[in-house]
Amino acid sequence: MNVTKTAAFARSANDPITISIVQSLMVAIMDECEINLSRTALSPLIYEGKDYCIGLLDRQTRTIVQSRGSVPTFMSDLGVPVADALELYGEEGIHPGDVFMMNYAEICGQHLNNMVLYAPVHHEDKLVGFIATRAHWTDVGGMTPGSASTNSTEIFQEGIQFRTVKIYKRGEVCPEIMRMLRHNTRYPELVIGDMEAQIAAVELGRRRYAALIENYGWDLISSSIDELWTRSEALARERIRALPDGTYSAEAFLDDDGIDLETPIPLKLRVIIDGDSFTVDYSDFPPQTKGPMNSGGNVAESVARVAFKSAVVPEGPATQATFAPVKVIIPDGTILSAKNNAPMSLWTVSIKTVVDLIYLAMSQAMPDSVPAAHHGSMGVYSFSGVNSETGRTYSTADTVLGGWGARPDADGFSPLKTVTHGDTKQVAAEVEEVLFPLVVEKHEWIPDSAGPGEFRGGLGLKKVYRLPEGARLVGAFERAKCPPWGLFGGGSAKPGTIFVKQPDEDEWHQFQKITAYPIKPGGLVVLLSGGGGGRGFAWKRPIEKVVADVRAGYVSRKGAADDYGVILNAGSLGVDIEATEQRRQQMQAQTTI
Amino acid sequence: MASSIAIDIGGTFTDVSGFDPERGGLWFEKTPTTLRPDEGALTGLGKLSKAGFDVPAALILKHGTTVVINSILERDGARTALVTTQGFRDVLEIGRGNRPESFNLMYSRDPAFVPRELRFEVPERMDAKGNIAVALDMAALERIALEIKEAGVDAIAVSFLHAYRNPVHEIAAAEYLAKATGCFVTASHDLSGEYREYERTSTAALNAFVGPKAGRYVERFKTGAEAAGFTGDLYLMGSAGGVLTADEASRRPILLIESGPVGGAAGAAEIGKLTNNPNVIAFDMGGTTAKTVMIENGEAAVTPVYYAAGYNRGHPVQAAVLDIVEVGAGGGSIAAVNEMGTLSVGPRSAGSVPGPACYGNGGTEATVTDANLYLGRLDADNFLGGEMRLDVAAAERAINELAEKLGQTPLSVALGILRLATLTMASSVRMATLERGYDPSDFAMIAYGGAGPLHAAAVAREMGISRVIIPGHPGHFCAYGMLFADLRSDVAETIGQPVSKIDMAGLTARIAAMVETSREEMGRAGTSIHEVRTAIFADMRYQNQEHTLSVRLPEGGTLTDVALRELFEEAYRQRYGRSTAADLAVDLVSIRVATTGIGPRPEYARLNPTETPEKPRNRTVSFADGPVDCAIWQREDLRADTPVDGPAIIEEGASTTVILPGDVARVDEWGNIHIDIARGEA
Repeated sequence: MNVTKTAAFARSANDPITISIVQSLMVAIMDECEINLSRTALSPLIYEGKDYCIGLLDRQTRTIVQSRGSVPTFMSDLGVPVADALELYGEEGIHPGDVFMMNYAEICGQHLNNMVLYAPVHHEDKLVGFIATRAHWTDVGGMTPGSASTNSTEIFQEGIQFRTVKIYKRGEVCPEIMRMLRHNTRYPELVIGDMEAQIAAVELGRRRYAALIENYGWDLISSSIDELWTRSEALARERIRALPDGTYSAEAFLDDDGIDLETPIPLKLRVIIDGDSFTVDYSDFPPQTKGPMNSGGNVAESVARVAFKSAVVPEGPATQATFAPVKVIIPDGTILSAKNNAPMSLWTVSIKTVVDLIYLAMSQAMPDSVPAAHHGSMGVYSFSGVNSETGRTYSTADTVLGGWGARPDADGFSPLKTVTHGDTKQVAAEVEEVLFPLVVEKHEWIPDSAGPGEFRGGLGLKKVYRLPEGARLVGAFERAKCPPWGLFGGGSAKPGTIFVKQPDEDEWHQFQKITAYPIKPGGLVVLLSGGGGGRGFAWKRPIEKVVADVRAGYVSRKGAADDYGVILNAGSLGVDIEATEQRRQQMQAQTTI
Repeated sequence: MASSIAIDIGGTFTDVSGFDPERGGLWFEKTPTTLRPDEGALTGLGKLSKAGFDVPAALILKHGTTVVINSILERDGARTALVTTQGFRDVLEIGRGNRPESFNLMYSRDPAFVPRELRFEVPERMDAKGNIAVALDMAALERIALEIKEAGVDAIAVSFLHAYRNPVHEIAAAEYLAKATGCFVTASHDLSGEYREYERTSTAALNAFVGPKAGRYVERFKTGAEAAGFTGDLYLMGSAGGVLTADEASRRPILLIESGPVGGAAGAAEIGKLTNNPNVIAFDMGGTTAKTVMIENGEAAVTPVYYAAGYNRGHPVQAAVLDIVEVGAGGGSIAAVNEMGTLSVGPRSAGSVPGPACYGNGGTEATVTDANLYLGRLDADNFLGGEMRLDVAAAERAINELAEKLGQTPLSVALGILRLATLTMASSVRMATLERGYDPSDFAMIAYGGAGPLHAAAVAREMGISRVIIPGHPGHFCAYGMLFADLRSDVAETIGQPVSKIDMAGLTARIAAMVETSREEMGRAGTSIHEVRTAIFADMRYQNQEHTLSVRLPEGGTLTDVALRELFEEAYRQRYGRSTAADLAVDLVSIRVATTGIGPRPEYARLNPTETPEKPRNRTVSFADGPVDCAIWQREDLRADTPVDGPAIIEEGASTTVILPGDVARVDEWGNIHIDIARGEA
């Protein structure tokens, strides 16, 4: 063996092996924090919905690493709320043992349920970074249970705000803040339990990161982080350089703002690829809305980052430097840069469409890396009331599952939550029925709900609830007027919607956005989720694939004929070849005009 | 005392072990795996006979098999139909809608095991309390049976909402369908007594999918064993850590999904007991993955939900399965320069074909095994007991090539490969311990598998574990461990109420009934069982929490709500270091009863400590501080209590143990190697 005595394994700050090792060690710390959070949290939104993120930030609040299960949109602007502490206290006012809480909308730019808890990390009495976690709290007060409404007009109706408040000072809990919190939420047990889980997670992260620095020395850790950033940025820029330069525009619109249900909200943006920079220009975005479709803070940037990362650099860590080439242009006061106490309850309903819209623009530059539009509706729904068995108030919260857009080489997958969700599960029907006074009657595919195409989209779903004790319903379903679109000739999908039938009535009431709507005992609620858009012309889809879809019931006979030009013989799955050829030629002629 | 046999049929090799107290202890044989199970049994037992083991005298034969997991991974099973409550036939495909790969826009889950046209709905409904809300529509079921027969189906899964609460509809439907169609029929409540319709339905569908094939397999294996002269009780290794009777295994084959690794965990538990370490971390590393299992008080941890083919894209099995945390780090894991220009190891693996570069079978990429060889930790002439010569030059070429790309020395690349592999393996230990709320530094690690002893000391250092134990025959440890596995059955019932609202007398009676049924079943399981033990666990949580803590309940007497709450809060404090400040009710989610039937098991022979040890050889081996002249021991030359100071290498037939600089090893009176791990970085 050819081994020389001089070649020992020396650690240097920027060698490609040490960087990998340090990075693995930091991710391990984040994962450990995540385990701790999800195992001790009290609300299903955290342990089951995984509606949270955990990140390690440097002393300037730049992201170094995150836990594996972190929600993408939560992560990519986590530094922003933390930076407010530096602004207000300066490094000298941030002490070991402090824990901060923050949901102030003017800076965070999200609905108030998303609470950031974070702890500083010190090494030899100097601030070296932060461990931060953002999680969705069940209720922070405001005018509706769960704090989500579709018709609030200012942020104060959506709950209580904490701007960079120290809940722990030098390791001592602040009882005044705890009291204040306890009496400003409808579900103090849940909220305080979740807060404790977040605090325990950041505390653990703080101890582990401090120990890592102790072990390896700050010089090695900090230079490894620098090197990790240098390399992440270089990779991102290399990927952008491989894309054709140009300005790529896309337009769509949102249904309404929740208040004025007649007026759609036009969205228009440009993606500019120039050398190794990637810019999303939101200059044409509409002004902030009266209803709660707004977001602010750095959400515009966060949305661009999520779209960029998943389409351009899906592999590798999501660090601050990955996003260095990503720029946004946005004036103040738009729907994505709202100011002056604008309502934000439905912020996440809007951003799904914005992400899809960025993909639509990018499809011109990188057709093989983005899918067609997905159901794209948050499809949030919640029932609340008093459970007659326990005598206590309850509120449920979940979002629909729907179809995703056709992929460059495959049908769209279904069902999934949305693009800004990660490993988030829908609550099981049996679990809901055990916990709450409701019955799930049905959960099934909706035939013909997918956008047709050579590759079709994923299907939407129908879910039927019966409310034996009645309830109040909150729901927000987007994309009814601008359904999930297809790409390159693919058709758009059927959008999602809500139907309600009261027990003493025959007709169904249809809603897209509704707040605190009273359902009488025995009433039915039908939730339809959207499908995904198709890709390529439907008349190009192989006939046997269409027949297989009819056999499975994903596509009806009528859908096969109308959407795909495949005519089946009556009473069998045999194809009428002649009629099919004729119909497909007709379809082709129409598309080439 | 009676003799026993274990046969572990893996993908490449079949390991056979035998224990015969009268004829002098333990036998180990290895033979290539053949396609037919009856042949496998026959050849394996034949080899054992030839080596002098009296097969007809054995009372027990335990068998670990990959037939179930392979059937699922290769999607090679029965044409399966599913019958569900009206409105829910799509539950199998809908799942939970999560996307574990959150930046992957092209994500999809593996397709369901029952296509939509074979999924049928029948009008019936239980409510959440188990009351019949809609009666089972037998006429509809008749029509479904006809359609199923016409569709040429071999197996049927029946899964109704809330059947875990009241199974009468499932039982009636399953009985009718079995009679009407002659198919293999499985009902969800028979596999899982817990809620979550997708997970329970998936479990039933998978059980049906593998059912006919597994049944035939068990039958053939039995024929083969009988042809080889075996006349005792046949058991199969169940995924929960114990063995199942052949009948049980044919009815609920999904319980065999981790049939092989269970042997290792059982062996590790036994070694733990023998060495006064009732709490141990079992660490098994082979060619493609490293697996970790926690063992507490001699019991291997089981998980209530297991994902066949992995969490990201696979399908859930809601049944007690050994809680194995598996990561893609094995001897064949490939080291490469990633998109960031830094070094990464795995999850790509060279597998056994072409295998690591040093196997000389056409592999050119550097693997963990190549790094071990390059660093002198493996001996090219003494790999697998000399059965296979390793190509040092090929390993060097692969490492050099990587070094050039990275601009680093080959030595630092080889050390970096091991370090990164160690961190990945450490993550499996981290998940297996911390995710269950244990501190790994409180445990000893028992390492086995072909590559386990090579890396165990480094993984232990990383996780702050201070003691590693390498049992005898680490390369055959799963077959060996099976000799110790007990008969086991697990039943669970969902309670789902706050403890303060539970009728405690009723609960006590319910538990007593569960215990009695389990004991009766165990009593019928075989003549070789001489003792039956039960353990009762209550899965509790704070109101609204998801994750439960399993607390062992005292047996006998009537339970009280205060006692239940105290048990829970004590366990919670221990696990999470705090109880909550919020004023929360405690829910009893479910009751589990684990029943164990104890049969004959091997006893350990002691080493003779008086002989003087042989002297070790020496060779150059590299560690973090560079190459050193290192002592190379043959394991059989070590005597009890002789200290071996690290750095040192201990070689034996199918495995190599690395003692790192600063560590000290010692062999105990039964031949296990104990390594005291120094603090710091490997």
